[in-house]
Amino acid sequence: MNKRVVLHIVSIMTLFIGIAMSVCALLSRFWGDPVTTQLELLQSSAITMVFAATLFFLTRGDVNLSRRDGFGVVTFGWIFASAFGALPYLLSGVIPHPAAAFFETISGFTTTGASVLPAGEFPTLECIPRGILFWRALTHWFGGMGVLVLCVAILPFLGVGGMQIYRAEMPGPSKDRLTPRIATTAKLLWVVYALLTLIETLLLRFVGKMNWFDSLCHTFATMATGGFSTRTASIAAYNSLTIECILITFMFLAAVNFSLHYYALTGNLSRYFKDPEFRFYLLFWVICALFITANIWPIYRSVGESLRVSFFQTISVLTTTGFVSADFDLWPQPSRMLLVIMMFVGGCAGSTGGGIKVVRIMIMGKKITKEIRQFMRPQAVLQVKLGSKPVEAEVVSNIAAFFTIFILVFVIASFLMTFFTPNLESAATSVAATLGNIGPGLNAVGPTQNYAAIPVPGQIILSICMLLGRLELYTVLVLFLPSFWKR
Amino acid sequence: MRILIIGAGKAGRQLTLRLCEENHSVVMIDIDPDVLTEAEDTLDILTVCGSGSSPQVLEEAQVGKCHLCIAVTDCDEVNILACLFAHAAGVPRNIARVASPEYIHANNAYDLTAMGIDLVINQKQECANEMFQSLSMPGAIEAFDLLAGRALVAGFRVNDTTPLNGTTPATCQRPDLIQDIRMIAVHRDGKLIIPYGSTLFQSGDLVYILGERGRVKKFSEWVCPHLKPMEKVIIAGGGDLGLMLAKLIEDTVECVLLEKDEARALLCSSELSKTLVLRADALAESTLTETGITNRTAFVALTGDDEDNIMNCLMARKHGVVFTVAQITRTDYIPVIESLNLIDRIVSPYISTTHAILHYLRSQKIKAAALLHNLPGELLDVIIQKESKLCGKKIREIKMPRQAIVATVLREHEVVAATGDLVLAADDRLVIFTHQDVVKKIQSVFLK
Repeated sequence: MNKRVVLHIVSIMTLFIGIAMSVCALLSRFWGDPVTTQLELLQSSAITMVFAATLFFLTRGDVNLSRRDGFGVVTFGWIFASAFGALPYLLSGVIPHPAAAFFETISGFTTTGASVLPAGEFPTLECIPRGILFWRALTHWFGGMGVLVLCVAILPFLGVGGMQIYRAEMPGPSKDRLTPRIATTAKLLWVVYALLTLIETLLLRFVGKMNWFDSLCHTFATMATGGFSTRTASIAAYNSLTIECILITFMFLAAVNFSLHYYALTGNLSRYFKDPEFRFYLLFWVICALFITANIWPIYRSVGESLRVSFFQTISVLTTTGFVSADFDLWPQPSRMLLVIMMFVGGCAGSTGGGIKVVRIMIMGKKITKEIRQFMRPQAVLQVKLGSKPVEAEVVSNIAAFFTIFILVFVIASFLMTFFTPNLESAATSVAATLGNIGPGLNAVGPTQNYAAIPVPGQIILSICMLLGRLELYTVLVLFLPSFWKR
Repeated sequence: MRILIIGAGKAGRQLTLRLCEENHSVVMIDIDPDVLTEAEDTLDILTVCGSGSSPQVLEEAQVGKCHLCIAVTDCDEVNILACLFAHAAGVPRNIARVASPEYIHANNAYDLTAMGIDLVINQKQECANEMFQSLSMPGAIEAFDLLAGRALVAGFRVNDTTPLNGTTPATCQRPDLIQDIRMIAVHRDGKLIIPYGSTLFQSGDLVYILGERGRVKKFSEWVCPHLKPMEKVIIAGGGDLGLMLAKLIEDTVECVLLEKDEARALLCSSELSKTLVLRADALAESTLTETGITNRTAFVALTGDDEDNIMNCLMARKHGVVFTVAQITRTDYIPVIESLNLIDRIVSPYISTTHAILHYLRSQKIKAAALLHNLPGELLDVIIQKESKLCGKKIREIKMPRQAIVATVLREHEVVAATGDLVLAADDRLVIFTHQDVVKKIQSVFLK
């Protein structure tokens, strides 16, 4: 790994983070936060920018990235972003402990939405200054499409290096290109992302009757499939069917492959239904939601009400957003288990959603059927197909390895978490909810609880899980190979 | 510009690399998925797997959106068909690589350019031309024509024995030779320097000069005194390329062609009239002695085997050959051979193809043409209008940025040396060499 080049690009990205903090400080002034909060935000911004500028200057030179460097840039970029992104929480005293502040930031950037807030001096989210809450939502938005993909889109000098970064940061087993040049592709994806963000903000503001602050923060959390709310009770605080419908629509869209949105915007709407992953995703959601509706009917005693909470909660978990409109921890056991299963599935490839990804589940399912059929008829020539196209054997074995590693990480982390959580259910679901970038789990980390009670070592383990989940394991795990560090 | 490249072979990848460097969007089609995966790893491109001559594949690559289609697969028919389809789909410019002379020398009814293929490239012909150019002026590292052959740009390497070393254009020992040509660029440590009267030439510099062909030739003889025009050329390998080269040069110099295979040697001798064809192994000591090497002999190794070619050149040099040329098909070898200074000139059909295509593309840009490889310089072509304020002014009176130089003036189809005292007249065509950064400034000086 070429450390100079890696740090050079990371420094540019850190500079963006610093600039974004200044914007928060400005908005904080506009929304009438106390002057101290504004100054604290400015201070964090200044520290970040001075550091970034110094690093930029010290590492200047040619930018020529190899494939290895791409992984380095992405992993270190995310760690740097989270370290500096924690400054506003620390300086303002909203989260006094550094590990907890780091946890909150990485939860923001990885679009997990697992929070240690509210806690301590701030018993509710509503009493935290708006500037800080806005920064919290903004980390989601940057992390959703990937802050480094944004760098690829706007930095002209990256060239082929941009491709390495894009490959390491974008989720999904195969990365499709919309245009020949990766910078243009990254730009188009961000444009689609920004456009959907704009539409949702306007809808929440004028149809959902939220104020500008709430609609912006909730849009950032939806489009990135993050899940940070500005209310302690999350979406349940609004108790509005209109808002929930808007959120369901946009959560659903945010976990769809953004290439499909691009084709739709260019007038090719049929691409949605031609895509096997999209069809499976839609079908899976509807079936799960209907099952849960039937299962929770006895609790809510009304079809409408059951349908409403079930559809909201299932899409919120499936897309790995983690908004809460009802305390699903009180639901019957089958529903709770189904939600945990959905956590593992996650969104579509090339979207902002987390989890294992629908397409991987589909390919694995087909691989299993193929193996069984092959067992019965050894001479048969069978191929794993997605739609009408055969999937390369290399991709299938890569996905099988991904599955194994995912489960392995889940098992090891769950075991470690048993030291820091009251029961098995909390230990396992806290890992599932962070590794899959969902946010709320069950029991002690359930929808009405938060992660503040987990001791520092536990928070560090979960932080690593979030990073592993967002960058899809390999990008982070290659860093543990000794040969990666050699030239 | 969106460019479609069909064929991810050596030529296709070389070309893509250069086009990507110039920030074009490249879509590549090839039938072999493994080659495409490899190409995707190092190049910022979109790839489509399939045959380049299949309409479905072309449609998948969105051929209609492309501004240029270049077909460089190994198969002539695929290349021609792909370009014809692309032309039908509305691609404005199409380039095809065609090897078979039957397609190229067909009569007018079958003329490919009339069917919508703008440039038909014969890889071996391009390569033979390049060799002919370097044999006729052995001192120049690279040379190419400008203004339809009226002027020539040539690059010379300065080393310790070169008379240019340690002098400036103003203190040059032979002012009579350099007054009629212009030194337009110096390539030093990867940087571009525009030379002035006070620029000191150092060992290791690559100096580019521009001027009328005969004058450039004279300059070349002075700069590289040990490389006098060749009296004899020995060609090892009577393949298509060797045969083509022999045909080109046999009228001007004595030519010996070495070919091992009897049938091939017979064919060569029937096609050639003045060349001496020897049926012998070029790698045998005795053969080299037999050919009669003098101190004004060039040796050209054109067999299909890179390693044989290199060894053959080294052996020939041992026998007293002053100038060696080898064909290298594996482009990976080239940097090593160049840095070890084993061989005077390397030719590669793939690189020749790339150069030919890039030259064509650049000369199509109406007023600007970037020509010197890997240098951030451009040649601008400006015509002085009648109403221009510059009419009647001397060149030294024009306010120009320091990073630009008037390279030559074309007046009534004659190349005139662009000295500072030349008075400009209406309809003069100026060729200006400039650093990329100041192109806009130059345009504002001349086009207002």
